[in-house]
Amino acid sequence: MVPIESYVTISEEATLYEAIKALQSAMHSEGRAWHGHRSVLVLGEDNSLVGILTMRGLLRAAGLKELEEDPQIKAESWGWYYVNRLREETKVRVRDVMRPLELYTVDAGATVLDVALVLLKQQVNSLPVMHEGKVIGIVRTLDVFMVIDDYFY
Amino acid sequence: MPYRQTVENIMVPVHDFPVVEEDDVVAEAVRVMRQFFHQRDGTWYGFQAALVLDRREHLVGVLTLRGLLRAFQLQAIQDHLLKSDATGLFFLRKFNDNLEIVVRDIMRPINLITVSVGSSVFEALRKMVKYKINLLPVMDGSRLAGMVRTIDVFWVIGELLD
Repeated sequence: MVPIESYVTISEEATLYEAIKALQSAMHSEGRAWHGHRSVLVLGEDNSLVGILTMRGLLRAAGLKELEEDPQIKAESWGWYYVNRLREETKVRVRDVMRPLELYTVDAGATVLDVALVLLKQQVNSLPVMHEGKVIGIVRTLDVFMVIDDYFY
Repeated sequence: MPYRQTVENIMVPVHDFPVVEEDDVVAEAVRVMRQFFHQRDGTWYGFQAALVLDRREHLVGVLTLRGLLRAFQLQAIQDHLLKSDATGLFFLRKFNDNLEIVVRDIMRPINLITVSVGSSVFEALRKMVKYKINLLPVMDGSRLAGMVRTIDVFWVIGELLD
């Protein structure tokens, strides 16, 4: 897993625009490969951890669904509407698009197999790791990949 | 004109990806992918997927990290069956003769969900959100030209916002 301290954080009151910028600042590119974390942690009022904001969560946001269903918007201009929406949508906050912390978690003592099965079942690529009621890190599909040799040979 | 940006401009070219065979066992596929994926100063470099070829060297699928997770799932089912009544195995065509999980069992077939080289970035975005995938094959006719990742799309949208 990745220790919780290494993640970029954002307030749950932040706007989508701020969130996208925060997530971009957490990533860098070198050639065509990216590194850095692909999610940011969301902090609540008292600076406690309340959720995870992923790249997917952001992309899914901004009324994507309504845009898709609106027959008035032609396919060519769809992208323009989408971006404008992201820019102007001030009512939508990080809180609305994040994944709440408690939704899916694994215990620090869970086996790699357990983690793999939860990642698959919930269709996510990262899971908070809990120890005695506190989040101590995030485990990702990538982390499972790094130890997969121990299970298949 | 950034709004007319096509996936061709942001995709990763096909020859940048590692290649595995559909009959490879999981360990072999992991070894190949691992070579393309290395750690330096605590960060990871490389692509998190491989192309899958059949025996005639035709491209048949994409193996992602999620696919590798599926290997765990299959292994769990297999172990469960072996511990209980082994006759159940006859009904599972997923496994080959020696009960090894191969790439074919866990890959995503190439033609399932794709975009073409001329598609817009937003078209790719729609498909990624709709089908819940992070890697989308980009086709030039019937030939695979490259793959576009969520992160590439995300980056373009971030730039459009400035």
